[in-house]
Amino acid sequence: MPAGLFHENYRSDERIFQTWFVKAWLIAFLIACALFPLVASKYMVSILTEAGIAIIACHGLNVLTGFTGQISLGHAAFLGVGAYTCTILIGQAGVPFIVALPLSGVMAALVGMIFGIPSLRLRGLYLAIATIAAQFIIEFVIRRWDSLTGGVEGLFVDPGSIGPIQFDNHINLYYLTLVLAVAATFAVKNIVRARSGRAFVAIRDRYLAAEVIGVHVFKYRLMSFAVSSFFAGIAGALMAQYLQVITHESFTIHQSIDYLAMCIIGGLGHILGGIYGVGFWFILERFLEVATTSLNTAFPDHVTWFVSIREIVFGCVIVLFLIFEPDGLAARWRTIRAYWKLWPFSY
Amino acid sequence: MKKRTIVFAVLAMFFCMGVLVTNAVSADKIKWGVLIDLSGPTSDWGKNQVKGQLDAARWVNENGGINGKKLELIVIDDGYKVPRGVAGYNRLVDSENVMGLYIQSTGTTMTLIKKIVKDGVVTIAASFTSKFQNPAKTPFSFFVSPSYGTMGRIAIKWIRDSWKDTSRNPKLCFLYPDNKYGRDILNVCKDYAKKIGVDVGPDQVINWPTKDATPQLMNMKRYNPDYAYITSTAMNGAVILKNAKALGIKTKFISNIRNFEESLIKLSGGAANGTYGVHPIAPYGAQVPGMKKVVVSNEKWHKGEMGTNVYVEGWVNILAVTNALRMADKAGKLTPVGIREAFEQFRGFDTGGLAPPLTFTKTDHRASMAAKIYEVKSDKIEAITSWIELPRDKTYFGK
Repeated sequence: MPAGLFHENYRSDERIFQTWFVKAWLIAFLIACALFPLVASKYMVSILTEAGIAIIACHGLNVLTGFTGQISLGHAAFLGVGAYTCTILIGQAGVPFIVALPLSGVMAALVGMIFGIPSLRLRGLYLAIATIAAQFIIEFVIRRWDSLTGGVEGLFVDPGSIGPIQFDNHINLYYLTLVLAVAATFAVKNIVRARSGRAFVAIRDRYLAAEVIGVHVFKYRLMSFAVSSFFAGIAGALMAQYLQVITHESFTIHQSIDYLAMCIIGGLGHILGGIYGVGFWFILERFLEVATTSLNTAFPDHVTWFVSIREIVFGCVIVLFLIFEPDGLAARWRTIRAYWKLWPFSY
Repeated sequence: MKKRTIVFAVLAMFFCMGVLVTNAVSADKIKWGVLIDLSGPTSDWGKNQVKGQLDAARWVNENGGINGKKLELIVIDDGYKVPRGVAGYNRLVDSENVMGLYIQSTGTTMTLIKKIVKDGVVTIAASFTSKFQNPAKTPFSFFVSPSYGTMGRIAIKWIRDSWKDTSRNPKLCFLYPDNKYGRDILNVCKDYAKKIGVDVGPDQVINWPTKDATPQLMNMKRYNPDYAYITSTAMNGAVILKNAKALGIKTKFISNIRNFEESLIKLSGGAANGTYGVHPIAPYGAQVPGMKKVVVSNEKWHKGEMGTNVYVEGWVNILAVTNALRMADKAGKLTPVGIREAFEQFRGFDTGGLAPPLTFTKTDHRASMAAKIYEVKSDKIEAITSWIELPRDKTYFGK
């Protein structure tokens, strides 16, 4: 009997759950997530819903930026496309939510592919600029297409429902987000460990070599944009349900940059990177909020000092991560695990 | 090892800060939320506003509080971002259980509007759009000033009334950013201008952040209006005034409330002199009975810092909230519904001249219909009219 993990074929090497222990942990974690609303306050449930939406969005961005190496600064705009598509389909066309939800992903994927076309010619920073253009163009369209999007006034979102379950209830929305976030995680895992994923990584690491060995670079780049935007679209549709009113101000470039930062912190090119990044981001944000508000309340004379703490800490965290942990929390977690696996005989 | 120690030390420091400053829980406290931009594009405004509110709350607490109870403001910074604003709102309402809250950003307020009605939380808005004035639609929304549209109409009325040339109508252009705030007044003001005989020229869209408004001003110059009405903020509006001065434009500029504050004078480097503003709040240091405590507090707690009319507006907000809380408390209904009912009993509530008397009723949440026209003369804001009041009719109600 082999000691530790010992793969004899590719099938076992590519297995999602390498050991029964991982599987057990995951099941325990999911049960904990499912039971969470029973014990948590409304506020905590809504925070976790928001985090779940961010996880779906980050998975999308991770496929594009982390696995295919295409920097995107327009991710929030694709969330916007999804949010508006879903809301318009439900509210104006009377399409049931269960159909509108995947359609909003498809719509975002189509728009994403259009903006992915420049990736044929543009790479690196130039492509990043092209995706900024996507951000501004989509925002502009939302602002000016009054008859469809309500212009600067925004749109009221009709709560979606599947059968008798209405999603204007925060607990129902939490479960929907949970199910979709889990599904998204498995979907990304499977995309990445299949042929497409290997093609993405090949393009990221050396696109010329990838082309030489027969990877259709443009096709896979476009596919990466489509997959990424599809997840963004789904996240956007959920975001619309969560916010209940959507305006162009909900999907700004700041939001895009936040998603990119979450991915960097979590670890670009790791499946769990999106989850770690979002987790870290939300915990830090809540923590800083509690710290600054209690400081504000305790020393009301210096309220303007403490608000800056939050911005400074966020900036510092990102810089520190880039310096000390360029591979993100996912890599750090792997190191910690490797250390404990052999403890106390690590030599 | 060293880097791990540094990271750990930083995290530990913030953890300690959070733990050390936990609040002592007390029953004699009334919590009120403030959701405001202290780090985003409108943060210079937000900082003055929050300073005014906190000072006013401190003054209230030192002078009897809410019938002996302490008023506690919980300030959350939303950075002018909608998602952060929504998260902040959830925290204030669901976790801190505030009695009500102040919301600055128009985007956040509009996003939350349905939720506010559902949750039944009293909100004081910094966004003076008339869409929040109809209690049939927004029963829990209040603000302490005439709406943007009403103030625009007051300016137009002043233009018409002070116009001497009988051969033609005065000409007016609107300058605004392409967002909800910028477009809010257009329909109402253009309709009103047409009615009373003021000609309106082509709109000039000047987006934020404003770096250069020369093309729009050149465009406007072709129509050569007598007046131009600026909807903006001081930081962006100052650029417009500077550009206009450089181009030698003779048009008289009228700033709206969010543009017309002391920092506009400072930022525009003298270009604001000779321009006008329409404003319901008394400028800092004005000769009104309610101003004494404001000036004394600012000098006592923020020695050497400039007082502004935004700071005064912060005071007006808290004085109004305090009055409503006192009334609700006296009636034994210190609940959001009770506070709403208390607000709706305001009949000419006087803030000592800091703002026109406030009135709210069950069917009408228009606080007041009056403002003054001010002019900047040698870097000082001076009133050039007394109160200009419009009738409280239904023509533009909620539009």
